[in-house]
Amino acid sequence: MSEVAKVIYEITIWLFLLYAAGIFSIYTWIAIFSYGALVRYKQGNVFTDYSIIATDPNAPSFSLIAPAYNEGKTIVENVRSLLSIYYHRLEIIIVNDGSKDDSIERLIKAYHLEPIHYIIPGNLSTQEVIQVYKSTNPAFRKLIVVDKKNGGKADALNVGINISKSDYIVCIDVDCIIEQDAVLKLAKPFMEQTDERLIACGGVIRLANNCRIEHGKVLEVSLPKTWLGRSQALEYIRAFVLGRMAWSRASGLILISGAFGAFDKEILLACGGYDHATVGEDMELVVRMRRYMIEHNLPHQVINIPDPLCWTEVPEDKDVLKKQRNRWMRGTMETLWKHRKLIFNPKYGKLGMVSLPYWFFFEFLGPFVEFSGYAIFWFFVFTGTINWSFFIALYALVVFWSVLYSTYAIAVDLVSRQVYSKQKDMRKLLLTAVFEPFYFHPLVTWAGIRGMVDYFRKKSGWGEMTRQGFSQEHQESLRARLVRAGQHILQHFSTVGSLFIGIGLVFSVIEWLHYGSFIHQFKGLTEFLILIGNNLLYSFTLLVVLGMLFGLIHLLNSTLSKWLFNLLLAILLISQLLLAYYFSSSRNLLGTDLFFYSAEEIKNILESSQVLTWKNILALFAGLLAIYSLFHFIAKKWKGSAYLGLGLMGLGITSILLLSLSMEFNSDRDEFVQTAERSKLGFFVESNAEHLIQEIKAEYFDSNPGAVYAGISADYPFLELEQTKDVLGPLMVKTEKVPNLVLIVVEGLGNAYSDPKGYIGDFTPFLSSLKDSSMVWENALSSSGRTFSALPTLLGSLPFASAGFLEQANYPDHFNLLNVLKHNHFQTAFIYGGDGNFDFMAKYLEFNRTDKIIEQRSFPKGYRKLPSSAGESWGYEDQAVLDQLYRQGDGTASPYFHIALTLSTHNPFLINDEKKYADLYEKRLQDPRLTKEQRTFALANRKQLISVINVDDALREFFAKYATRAEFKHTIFVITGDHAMPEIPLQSKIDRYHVPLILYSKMLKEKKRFTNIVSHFDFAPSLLAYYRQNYGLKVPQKVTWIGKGLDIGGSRPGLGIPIMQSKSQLIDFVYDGYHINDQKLFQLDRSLNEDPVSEDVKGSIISVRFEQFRDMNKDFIRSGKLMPDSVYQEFFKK
Amino acid sequence: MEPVLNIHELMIAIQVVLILVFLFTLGLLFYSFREYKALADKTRWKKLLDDYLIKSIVTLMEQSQQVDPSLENLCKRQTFRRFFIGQLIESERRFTGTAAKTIMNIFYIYGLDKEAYQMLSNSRPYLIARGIQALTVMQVREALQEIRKTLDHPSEIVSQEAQLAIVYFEGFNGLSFLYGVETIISEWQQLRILNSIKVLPEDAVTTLLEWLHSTNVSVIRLALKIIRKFQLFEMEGVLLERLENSDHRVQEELVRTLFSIEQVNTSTALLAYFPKATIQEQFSIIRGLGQIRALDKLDFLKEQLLAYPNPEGKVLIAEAMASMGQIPFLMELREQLLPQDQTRLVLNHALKSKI
Repeated sequence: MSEVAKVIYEITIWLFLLYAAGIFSIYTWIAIFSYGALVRYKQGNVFTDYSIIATDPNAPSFSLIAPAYNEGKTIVENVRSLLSIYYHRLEIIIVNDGSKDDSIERLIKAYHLEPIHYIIPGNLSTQEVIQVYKSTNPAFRKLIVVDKKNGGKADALNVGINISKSDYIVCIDVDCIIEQDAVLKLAKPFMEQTDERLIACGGVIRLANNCRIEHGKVLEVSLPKTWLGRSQALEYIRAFVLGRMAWSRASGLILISGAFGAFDKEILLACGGYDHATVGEDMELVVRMRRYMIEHNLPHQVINIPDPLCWTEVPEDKDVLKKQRNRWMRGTMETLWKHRKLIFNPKYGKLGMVSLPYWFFFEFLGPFVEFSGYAIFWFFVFTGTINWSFFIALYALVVFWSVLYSTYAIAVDLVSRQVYSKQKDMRKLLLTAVFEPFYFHPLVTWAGIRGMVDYFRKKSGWGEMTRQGFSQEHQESLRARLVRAGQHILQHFSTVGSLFIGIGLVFSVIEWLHYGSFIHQFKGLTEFLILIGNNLLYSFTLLVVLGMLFGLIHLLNSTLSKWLFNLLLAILLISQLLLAYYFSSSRNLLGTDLFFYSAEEIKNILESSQVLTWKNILALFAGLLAIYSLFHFIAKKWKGSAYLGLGLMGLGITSILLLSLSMEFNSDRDEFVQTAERSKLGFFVESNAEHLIQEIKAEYFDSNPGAVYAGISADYPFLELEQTKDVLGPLMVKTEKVPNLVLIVVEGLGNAYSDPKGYIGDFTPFLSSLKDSSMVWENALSSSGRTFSALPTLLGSLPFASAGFLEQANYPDHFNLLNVLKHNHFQTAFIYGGDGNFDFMAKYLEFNRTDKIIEQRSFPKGYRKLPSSAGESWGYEDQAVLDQLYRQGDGTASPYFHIALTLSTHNPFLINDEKKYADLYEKRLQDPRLTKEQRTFALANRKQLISVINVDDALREFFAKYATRAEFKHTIFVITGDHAMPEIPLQSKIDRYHVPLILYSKMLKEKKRFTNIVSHFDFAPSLLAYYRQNYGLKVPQKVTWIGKGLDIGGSRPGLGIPIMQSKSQLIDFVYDGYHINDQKLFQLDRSLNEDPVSEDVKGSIISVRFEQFRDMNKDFIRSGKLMPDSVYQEFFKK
Repeated sequence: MEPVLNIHELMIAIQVVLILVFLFTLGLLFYSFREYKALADKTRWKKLLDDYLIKSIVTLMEQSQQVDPSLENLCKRQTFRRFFIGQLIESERRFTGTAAKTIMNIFYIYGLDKEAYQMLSNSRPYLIARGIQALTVMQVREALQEIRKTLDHPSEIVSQEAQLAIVYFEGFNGLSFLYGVETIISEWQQLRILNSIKVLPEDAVTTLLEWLHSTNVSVIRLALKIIRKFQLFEMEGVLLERLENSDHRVQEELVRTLFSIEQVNTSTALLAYFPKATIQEQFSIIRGLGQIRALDKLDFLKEQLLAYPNPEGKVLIAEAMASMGQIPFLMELREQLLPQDQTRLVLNHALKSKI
């Protein structure tokens, strides 16, 4: 699995886990809260004598409204059932909503109805009332039948509300069977209200399917026969007994079922009654009533009582069920959309902050998330990315949770009101709880998804409907609004997007012209086209990404979105210029490196590079403002075109596709030209995005545990027995005294310009002469493309952690040359001319109790600093550093280990006595051994190479002085570069790390050149092996070296050579003669030249090796430890 | 950076939760089974007690009851004793006279009074309320002192039950708690209290006068309901003085009460107030005029029938006139009006629903 796919996989899993955790939490809350509500209701009502209100003239009056449409076959029986409801102050209003059957005729006949003239007191807007009927039979005096033109359920209910003369309204479905004492039980909460007005009250609805019903009464309760029916029985228990009771107790209930609910008529009329234009009129009404009460600052409540008051028949046919759930989803969406301003609006209290967000995230998004889960599952299955054990555990958890919740609902239902009291019904319900997640749940999820689709599809029909009491914004249909917003977004996008691309093209031309002035290979049309092409690819990609962000924000706030979009695009354009400038001056692409330096370090770098001036800063802001203003002005003048916007989007998506297929254009030229051709902005954004992903991954995910190389311990993957072979001893004369060790790390010293075989040639004449009497590893590699890893690698052969070993907050216990040699009574010192805190070097050296640390602030007086640029100098010149190094050893009796890090070969390459070294440079240029190509390169990098000659000369002076000292003959000098200069064009990827490694000592028996590939990782193990073997120094038995010694280096028995290009990019690995760079495989020859190869088997072997190292490194990041305390303490105790 | 959780740990976490969920499900199943058994027990007990109570009432009403050994045995279980009390309370509501007395005897012979007392000292409010209810229904007057102590109980269900019990035992005098009550007494509680007052003491008017001046509107409304229930005609003058009360619900109650204790000048005074009244109060006045058949106010109604702006009010006026026997007048008026005239429609409506 690729890294990106793995990260996407893990992020997806986490998102689902978070969502699941949200659902689990809310359902746990519902379970606990509903139980309390049920118990409280039960305890408060167990001996309630409802009969006292049945006939009391002071009791509130109720109108029971039942809309009917084509219910002819059952309407007479249903009305008879309603007439048997036990309540004195009750009127029953049947509203025939323009039925096409004989409903009205049947009613007239059965109840002796006759038309009456009826003044309709209510003022809700409805379809025309054709006729109002009352019965001539006093036995049916409560009955009012209204015949009206068809207008839908909401319209029929509104007619009933208009007709009603009662205090409260009970809205029901005519086909429901209402318990005889239902109104009595509903009346009590209305009579109990005190400080808060009860505006709506619902009861529990149960399933009438398969129950024995006679004369409109449920005589015997049984569970439905089908699984579909039983699943709904369980679902209704969960919804009514748990969900609504919990929300009711928490004052957050926003749904009173349309099948049975009571409302305060006064508030109902004040709110404008039911909304005709929604299929979810029941929920919408309650939300609107609550909204009305809050807006008028009226304390109120909406409650649900757990008594089963109403029986309804649920669909047992799949298609009918799907239609019902489809409608419910549309209703939910309509309500949420209509009242969207309430969501997360603190003004609306619990309604805005809890209830509506809950409905949005869990009731509306629930099916969508679940459906996505199924889709992603199959995607993972087909792509082979699924972790089956994890998936099975997670799925089992979800299923068991569902079963638990259903079982809990059954248990609570049992405690509260025993509707299903037969043993076999309980068994069936429990079985249903087990099977329902596999059958019923996917069905309703799918219906919900279809509902979402239909909601968007069928919106046009709704746009024609009129609503009352709301502003234009409310009257506009969602689709119309979306289309309008979409057009507006695309128009603005097209205007600003076109400008962005246009200005980007102009900048690309400037970039090409500028590069052409100093890169002689970069003047052709091909390079121009490639650069333009790459810049366009990234410009379109970034444009489409920002465009989508713009679209989303636009839906919330159009002004903010435009402002943000314009500004971000202007920043991108300015960044394009800045990054191009950075490349031209550093010859390097800027990626994530920027974020690994502190503000102080960046300031220093910028000041040293002479760019941090007020003039530049002002120019930067002026440019930004100019581009932003241009966007703003043109967007005002030119409305833009939605089609053009779509076209730009299309090009953006095409660019994304091309880039995802690694289709960035490049020529077959050398590495530097290829780098110059790249989009600098694209690289910057891409590498930072990748780094962000890595960060998230490192933060929240972990590698497979137990990645271990040496096999000692899975907890300490790098820990192994110290078995490094002494390769140096046989080549050196053994002295009486323990030899001193002096390590000189030269900043930016690459092999390309410090060796005659380098592609630039030999610009270090002294070092070249030194090599003639030294051990030289011609194919030595540094461990990174920057300085940050030089010390930990050379001294301790240490892993990188996340951004370099030195970046860690706390350094783990480990062995290195400093602490091991110090333990063997060596004196230790470190000399650096710059700021010791740079890359946390001083912190690390202090951690290792280095005896003496000399850096810029503690540097002795009397030395020269490097010339300053813009008032800022990098620090002391190399001559000063090496002189201090020389002086440290003077007069010490014990052996010593001294380290020096030079400085002058660093951008901006300013040195003292420049003329002197310029002359030497000119002299080197005349060297006939330089090829024409080498000379061209050398001419193009004059400034850099003069600084190289400077350090070489300083080294010459250093050795000349040192040779006069007595201990010179038993001192080992090691000279290497920390990395090659990125400012000097690279011919191949490996050149960035190809550095000289020279071991010079008078103790050498003979000079020797090695061509095996070694790295800085091998230095410490080999040096300690030498001291152990030849001088009996105490060295640890267990170590955490990455290098296995200079004899093994990057060959097969070793772990390989991992290399960090920058603090965030661990994309290079050398092993067994091959080099992986960013998933591309190269074969290395004996001179470290590399050619791309496509050996699948070899590539995969090396990739596995690299992956193994990454896993070990990640384990180390996770644990923060390299070895057990005991190993560390034991060694130092001795 | 230190990862928060790795996949391995996540797996373990999921498995632990899974096991917990599984165990909890098992626990729930066990609990459900127990509840089901309890439910089955209650169903059985209900049948047993129903049979026993019917048998006791029908056959043993005149004799002293015998203790049923099986019931006595079951009474060793607290759950059963409480269930038994519940059944007795339910039965007491259905029976009066000797039958009710029989039920009370049963309450004592099975020692359920002790259980009810025990419930009074329970910490759970609903059990205290149930204890009060049982002792009240079974007329255990000796428990009054104990019950009175619960009057200020923080739980509403306990304090309400105590209020009711005191009124049940002491009648109107038991309402003395109304002096200090600050919370709103719900309509439900008012209804229960009203049902419990059977007679009024002679000095009730003075007390009611004080309550009519209460700052608690629910106390005023209860006082008005008592005046209405016991037809305290002597209060008419006082109520007329209080006609312009600020709370509209009190005002509506007041109008209704005035019509129920109507005197010679009541309707005249109400008509004088009519223009200042809210629509709902006006509706109450119109309804009231119809109820008392205020023929002396017929002219006012005739005038309003044509002039009143609200159709619902017009219907009420027409209905009120119809109830005063003015149907011929209304029919005649209907014939005189044009078909599209709203008053004609109103008359159609009123006449159709009255004839």
